[in-house]
Amino acid sequence: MNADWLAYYDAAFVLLLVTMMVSWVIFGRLSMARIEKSIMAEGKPRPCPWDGVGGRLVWYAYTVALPAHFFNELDDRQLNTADVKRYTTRADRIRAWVFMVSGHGMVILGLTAVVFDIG
Amino acid sequence: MGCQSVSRNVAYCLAPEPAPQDLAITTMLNNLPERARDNLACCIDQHGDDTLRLALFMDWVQQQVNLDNVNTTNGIAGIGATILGNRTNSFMAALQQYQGALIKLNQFSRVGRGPAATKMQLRKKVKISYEQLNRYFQQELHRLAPASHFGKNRGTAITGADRGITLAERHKGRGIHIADIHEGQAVSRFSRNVSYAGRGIIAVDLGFRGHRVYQTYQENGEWERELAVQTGGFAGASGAGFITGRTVALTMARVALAATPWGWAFMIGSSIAIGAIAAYQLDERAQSVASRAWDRWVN
Repeated sequence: MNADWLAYYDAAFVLLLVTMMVSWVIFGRLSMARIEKSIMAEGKPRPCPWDGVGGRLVWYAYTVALPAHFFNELDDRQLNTADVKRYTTRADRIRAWVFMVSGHGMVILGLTAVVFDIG
Repeated sequence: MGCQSVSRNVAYCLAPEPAPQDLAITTMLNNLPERARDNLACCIDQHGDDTLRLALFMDWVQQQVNLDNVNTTNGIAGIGATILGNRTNSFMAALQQYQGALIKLNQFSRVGRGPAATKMQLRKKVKISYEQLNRYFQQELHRLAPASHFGKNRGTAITGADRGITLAERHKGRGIHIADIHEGQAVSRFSRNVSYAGRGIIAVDLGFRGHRVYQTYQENGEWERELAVQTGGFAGASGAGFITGRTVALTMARVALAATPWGWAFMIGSSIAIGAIAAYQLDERAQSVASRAWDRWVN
């Protein structure tokens, strides 16, 4: 691969990776923590009780960013879509979308490199 | 040592007439360093029979990806998180589906009247959803209730479909709320254990990576570069593990709902395997990109 293109690829990957890391923290602290507190204040248990390290953030991001009719009964069992939507604000949706785009972009870019043997 | 006691973290052969290879395997396991045996015991405690499958799977992934890779310990966080998260997630979904079937039967029985054919159908649904649980999540089920209760008319609905039906057809239907964290103490205990295991996996991964940075520092190497590389690898692997796991689970939830029990097998297997492979690959990619980026833009 041309060295110039490789530099562009690296720059894009680093940009997406760093955006994902920053948006993980921002969405986690400002959106997920608040929504979760509100759900627990209703007397409900913490969603996704199996998660000890914060992976449920991805579940929250999907539920906040995507429309409610996107989720079926099976998805609802871990994280109740209606509960989350009730406390979602516009700012939450923006933060969730930044995370979704950067995170998925990074995975796609990484796997593309594997398929086309870049770098 | 008296014959009444059994040592911790030591492999024993229980065959009355052991074959030579059985003894060889036992000796090999017992010759492992104590720390490795300790880790292995923890792994077996967490994953039961899946330990062997996990080991074979890791072996396969490593063979597929890069034979000469010396960083094979990396990506544990992403892979482990994917496996733990998705398997537990699927288990909880199956458990809640079984509970749903029991509640429906209970509601029907409470009314007291209704066509017998509907009752038979509801019972059948209970049996089918228990069969799914029993087929794919036996080891999780056995952590929720004492082994002596299984197959008998004792305990909660977790111990068998027949027990579930008996409880659901009672007026009060006590013991059928097996998946609600509020009521099922065993389930919340199980979830807590899984979440501790998840934290443990992340700690091990960070430990490996931290050690590599420290090693570079001790060798007077560029430890800042190594830190950037390992941070990139960690973020890439864990992010990819969770994101891919979630995407696949979202797709598979639809397949599993529509299909036969095979849908469930497909859902568990594919979300774990695809998530794990993505985590492994992204770890490698992120590390190589981070090292190139450092050399190009920082140095």
